Amino acid sequence: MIPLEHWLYLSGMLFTLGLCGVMMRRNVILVLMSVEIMLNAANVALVAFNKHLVATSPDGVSPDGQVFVFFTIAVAAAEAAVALVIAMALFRRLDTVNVDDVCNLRW
Amino acid sequence: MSTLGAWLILFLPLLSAVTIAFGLHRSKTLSVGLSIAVVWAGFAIAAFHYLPALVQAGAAAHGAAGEHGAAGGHEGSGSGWVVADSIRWLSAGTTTFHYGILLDGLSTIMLLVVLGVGGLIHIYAVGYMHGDPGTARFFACLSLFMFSMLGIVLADNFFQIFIHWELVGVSSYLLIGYYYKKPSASAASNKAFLTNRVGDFGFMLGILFLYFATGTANFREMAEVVARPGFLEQAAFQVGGAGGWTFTHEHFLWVAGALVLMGIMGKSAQFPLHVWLPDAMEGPTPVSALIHAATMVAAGVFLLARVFFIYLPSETAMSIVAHLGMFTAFFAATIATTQFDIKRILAFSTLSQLGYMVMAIGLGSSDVAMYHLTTHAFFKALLFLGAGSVIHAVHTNDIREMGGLFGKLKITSTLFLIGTLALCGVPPLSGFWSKDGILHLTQDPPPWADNVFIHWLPTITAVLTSYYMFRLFFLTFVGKPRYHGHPHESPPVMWAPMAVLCTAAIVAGPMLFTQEVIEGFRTVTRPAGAPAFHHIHADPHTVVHALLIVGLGAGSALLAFGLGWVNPEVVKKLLGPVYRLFDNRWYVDDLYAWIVEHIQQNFARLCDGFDRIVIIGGLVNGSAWLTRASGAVLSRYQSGSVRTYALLFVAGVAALLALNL
Repeated sequence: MIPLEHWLYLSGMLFTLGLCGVMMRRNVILVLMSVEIMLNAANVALVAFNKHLVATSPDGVSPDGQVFVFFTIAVAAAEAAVALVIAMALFRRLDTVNVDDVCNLRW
Repeated sequence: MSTLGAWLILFLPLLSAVTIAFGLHRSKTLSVGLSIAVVWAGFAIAAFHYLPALVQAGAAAHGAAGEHGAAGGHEGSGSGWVVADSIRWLSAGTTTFHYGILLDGLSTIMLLVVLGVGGLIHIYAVGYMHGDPGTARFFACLSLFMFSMLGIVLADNFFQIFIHWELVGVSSYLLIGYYYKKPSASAASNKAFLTNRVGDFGFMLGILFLYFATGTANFREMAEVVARPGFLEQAAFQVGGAGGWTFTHEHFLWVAGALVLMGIMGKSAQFPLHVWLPDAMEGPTPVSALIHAATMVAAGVFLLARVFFIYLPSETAMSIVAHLGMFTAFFAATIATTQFDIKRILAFSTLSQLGYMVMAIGLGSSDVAMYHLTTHAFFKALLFLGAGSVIHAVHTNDIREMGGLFGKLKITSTLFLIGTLALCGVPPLSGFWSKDGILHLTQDPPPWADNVFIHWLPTITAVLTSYYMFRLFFLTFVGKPRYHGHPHESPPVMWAPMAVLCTAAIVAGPMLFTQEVIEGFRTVTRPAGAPAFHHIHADPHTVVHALLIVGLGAGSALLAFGLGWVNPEVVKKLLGPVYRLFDNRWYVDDLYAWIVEHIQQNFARLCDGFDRIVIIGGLVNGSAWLTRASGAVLSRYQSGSVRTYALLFVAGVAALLALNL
């Protein structure tokens, strides 16, 4: 049995990875992928915590954390579809996928 | 008895005012007719429905008092006849405001005076305002005034009286400024309104004090609370713990009484808030007669009689009232001796007579004050209407441009002369009975007012009164004609009401107001210990005394202005500074002008500067500047770069986590 801490380290590392990607990558597709990584880092943490609670509490806990993950996946799928469409519209209009070039909404 | 009549008396004039304002004003005849009709309808209800019952109750009480003999405590309590009704008007929390009717002896006599004198003046005004384009507006305002005034008379609680107190202020304002195109008239109406505001501020505080102390605003309940044994000694509140200073209800009452007295000073034009009344003569003469001589200015005296129970327990309060009235009476009489505007002389005379009434209350006799109020309403209204008739004939207010009018205006002159004699107190006219009743009080004053001034000043004032009245009479009606044009007698619609008032002024002595009637006209809120009123005995001593007073004043006026044996200019020079003091109205108006100009204006400038620099410059413009400046700085961070936003967002979350929020 892998202890909870290890799962959390994994989750934290994935999250940091995604965060760095969001902040440093210029390609809009890669930024979106990084966001997906962050979401999945959270999913890992949720599943791990739920597993831990089920294992430790004497009279059992409902698998809420695992149900959350399904919701996250469903919402992430929808979000990814919308985001990719925006990226495509952006490319068609401005002929670029570089987020630094997309700064029309400034003061 | 049914209160329907009282409600009708109160609300018919309002109906008339509203009807005229919303449409009826197109027809002058209908407006005038309606306005007059409601007043006389009210008078008829009061005189034929309520008065007989009151007189009957009064006679019964008088009979009972007679049986019990002089030792019986029944005397002085009045008939106890009362018709009351009260509807809940609005409530806020535990406080409930009522609007009601309290018809007792006091309000009945006041009703009859207001409606009777008012009705006659309404008729007179038809002649006086003939041909004036604003007649309908004038009568609408008069009706509004009647409603407001009747509300004061019939009010059963302090809040209601305060509302109507303000309403008479408004109608007085509208009527003083009737000739609103004349700058002096609109200035006078503003002055009247503002001066009254000063008094009303104190009045309202006084009402709140009384409400706090007694827990009720209703006059009868308040009188019961005050009369409760031990109430006066009971502590209202304590300052500084157990060993500190205790503020009893007695202290409380006299402070409240002094504050209520401020309202009375404003409305009844007592010193030092008297300054508006002489200027109020800018209004049409019927208004001067009705509002500024016979009824509204008497409202203060009426209120004093109504809430006499507040003042009587405290000698300090009684002493304040007595000396205030005494001083106003003397002060106004001295000014009246030097004026040349016929209406102003009468205005100062009104001030002086109101002073007598207030003083009489301060000396413990609200009965004689109300009696003098009644007789004064008759002869002063008569004098004002006479003055109006003269002004109507010669088109000026200045008595230096009159003279020798006796031959031209025979009816007016005769009626005016009788009014003058009544005001001066020549027996057996009504003024003798009421005014000498007051002078009689001053000869044997209660301990709180037992000083040389109370002994002598009212008598000196009486001499001055007959002096200035006869000076007015001689300058206006006898001597060499100094008028322009061809004056002619007023139409019957004007002199007939004067003749009725004149009759009232003649018979309003013990003939009409017998001892029984006077006792019947007492208020139900009268405190138990108040001294009873008895008509003075017209024995030779009193009559000679009264005639001596009149003779002294009238004689000096005759020497100076009737026969011309003494040159007034020489006397003027001889008196020097005293004359200038009187002529400049004791410099009170100048003092107020100085205060307004130097103190109030500078204070206003200070406030204006504070407003401009601190409020507008600092707070308003400052906050605008702060918003703009912070916007200018913060807008730099809206770079449009998604990565920067992400970085800042992460930094923000990290900071929140680090701060453990």
